[in-house]
Parts: sequence; structure tokens; C-alpha cells
Amino acid sequence: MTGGWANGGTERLAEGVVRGTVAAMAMSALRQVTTGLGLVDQTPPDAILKQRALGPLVRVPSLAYFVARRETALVELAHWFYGAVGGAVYTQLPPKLLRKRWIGIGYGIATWLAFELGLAPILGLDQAKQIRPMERLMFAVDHLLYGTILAGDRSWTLPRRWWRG
Amino acid sequence: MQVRDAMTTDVLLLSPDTGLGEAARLMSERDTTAALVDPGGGAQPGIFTVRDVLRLVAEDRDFGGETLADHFTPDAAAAAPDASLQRAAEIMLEGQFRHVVVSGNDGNTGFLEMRDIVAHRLAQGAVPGTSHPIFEAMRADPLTVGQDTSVRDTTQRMMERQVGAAVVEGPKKGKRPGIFTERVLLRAVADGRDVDRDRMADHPNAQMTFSAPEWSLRQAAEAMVKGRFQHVVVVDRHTIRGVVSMRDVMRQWTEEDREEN
Repeated sequence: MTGGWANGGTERLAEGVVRGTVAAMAMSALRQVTTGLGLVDQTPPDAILKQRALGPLVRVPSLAYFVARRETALVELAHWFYGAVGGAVYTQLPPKLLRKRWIGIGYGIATWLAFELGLAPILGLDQAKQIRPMERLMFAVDHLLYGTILAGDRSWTLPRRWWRG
Repeated sequence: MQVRDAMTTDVLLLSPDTGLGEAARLMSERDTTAALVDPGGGAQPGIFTVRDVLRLVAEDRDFGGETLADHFTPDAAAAAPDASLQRAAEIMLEGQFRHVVVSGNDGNTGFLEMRDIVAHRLAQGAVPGTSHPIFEAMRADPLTVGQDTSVRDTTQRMMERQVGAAVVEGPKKGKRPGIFTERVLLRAVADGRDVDRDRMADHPNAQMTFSAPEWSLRQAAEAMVKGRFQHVVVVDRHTIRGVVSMRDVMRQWTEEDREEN
């Protein structure tokens, strides 16, 4: 594994959760910029909440009231939660795969494709029906950031002499 | 899409001699928002709806003594079974009502309500354009009443404002508000409740939901169809922002249809 991961199974899983959460937080920051610049209309968790959350909440008005009033915070928390789960899943990949230099980038791309090809069409989100090349590019970029931070791959972030020690 | 594809044919059919209270009870039992009234003589049926119940309560009519004869709409707007749903929607929006009577030569009699049109369009995936946010279609100045407002007073205000629902403020500041609708009123009348004595707090309504202003209108429409209600209360962190109704959904979709054609 790149990035000096813990050895124990439980420890590694916990570290994956923490790294996944932090990586998702970094994505959130990047999305503040891409959304603010108008390059992204709705981020994936935002789109799910705005387009699909009400269905499961219809019979529970108190929960719908809670969610509707706190949507901004809940969108971020949901995203960090996905990030944490993604981090936990990452630690369960085969060790041989985790030693690959490209694993962070590959995992980031995989999580992006999971939304574009899986979640968006399954949930019938507008994002699956529109071409939106710029938004797709921005999502690919922020998922790459996620994968790279999760993998702890410093090879492309700092000059080679620094991380070689 | 034609009217016959979405209309309700299993309708409550009443005679003009039916008492108002009895009509309300039968409608509440069937959980329907309208009944057809057969005037006899082969004439087209008229209609009696929850909006009529609202009006009659607001006017303090005698539900124990009066009959439908003087209070149903004999010449209700009608549509043929082969008329387009788009045309039926335009008739409803222009006339400010929620139902049209459907009467065909083939004996196909029933009514079509806004809910039927919205539900059919959702089922067919025939929702125009992309999904717009609720705040573009909602009514931003909803009628709001307190927990202690009487049922009669609320119905009178609803009639004055020509709305089908009133938002009921929460029992305390920051607590969840409720909604009082024509359907809740129908149930109260059917149960013989005292509409002058009863307060909003006596009629909690679990058939409702909430939305944030930016959530999609399509999502609100799906919620209304699934939950069998006509209104969604729109809130943000601090306040009640408005109410979006089935009518608002249909108006928005009809306008988009016009723009696309």
C-alpha cells in the first residue's frame, strides 16, 4: 500500500474510514470552488437530496421537516459518509492491487464512474440524462483528488527528493 | 395522452336529495375529493367536491338539514374521454377548479382530477424539461393560522384567499408546523365535529410532508402522488417559505408544454 498504512486489519479499516472522510472533505472544498464558478450545477449528494430524498420521507413528516431545514449540512455529512465508506472499501482491496502506483487515481476514477454509470441512472437523476461535459470533467477531477488523498500517494504532489526522504 | 387513460371511473354517485352531511360522510369513507351527482333524466352528471364542503362550512350552512340539490355544480366543466390531458389541464387551470366531469357516448362516465393528470404524467415519464426547483412554482405567501384558530375561522380565511390549505403554526416557536386541508375538513364534517369549537390543534394531519425551496418540483409531485396529498409545505432553516400544491405543479408543467410546442 502506498502512503504508510497501518498493518492490523481493524486499524487499517479505521484508517481507511478516516482517510476517506478527510479526502471527501477535500472534495467538498474543491466543489465549493467549482460550484461557485458555475462549472458544476449540482454535486452528486446535492442532486440526490434535491431530486430523490423526499420519496422515502413522505410518510415521516417529522424527518422530512428535519432534513428540509438542514439540507446544506446534511449534504456535506452524507458526502463525508460516502467518503468514509469508500475509504473502508479501499482497504479491503487485494494487497497486490494496493501496491500499484496508480491505485489512488484508479480508485478515484472508479468512484466517479460508480456515480455516473451506476447511481445517477439507477436513481433517475437529471445528471444521467444530460450531456454536461464540463460538470462531468469537474467530477472526474474531484474524484481523482479523493483517490489520491485516500491512497496517500505523495509521488505526484511533492518533488521526488522530498518523499524519498 | 387522453383523458380516458387517467380518469377515475370508480366514482361515488349521489342523488340531489342526498343530505350535505351524508354526502360528506360518504366522500370521507371513500377517501375521495369529489362525487358525481346524477340530476336524472339522462342529463350530464354534476359534481360536488371538497371545495364545495369548504365553501358551505365557511358560509355556516346546515349540514344536517340541507341537501346537495342547491349546492352541487350541475353544469360542471366537462371533457370527452378522447380529449387530451393537456387540454383538460388547461380547462382546470383556466377555471380555477380541480376536477372535470368526463362523460362519453360510450357510457364512460367519471371525473378527472389534477392528481390523476400529474400521476399519469409521472408514470409515463412525461415530465417536461429538466426538473425545476420548487421555489419557482410555489406560493410564497401561504395562509398561516395558529393552533388555537377555529376550524370555521380557518375555512373562512381559506375561502377568502381561495386556497385549499392553511399552514398551522407549530405549538412552539421552531416546532414542526402542520397543515389543514380540505380533506381534513371533510373528515371533520363527516365525523360531525363542532367546527366553531374545534381548533387547529384538534385536527393534526399526518398526511403531509416538507421540502426545501431548492428541491425539485418533480420530487414534490411524486411525494404528493405517493402520499395522497395536495400540498407540500416549503421550509428553510428559519421559516416557512411557502406552499406548493398540485395546481402549482400542473401550472408549471402546462407552461413548459406550451413553451416546448
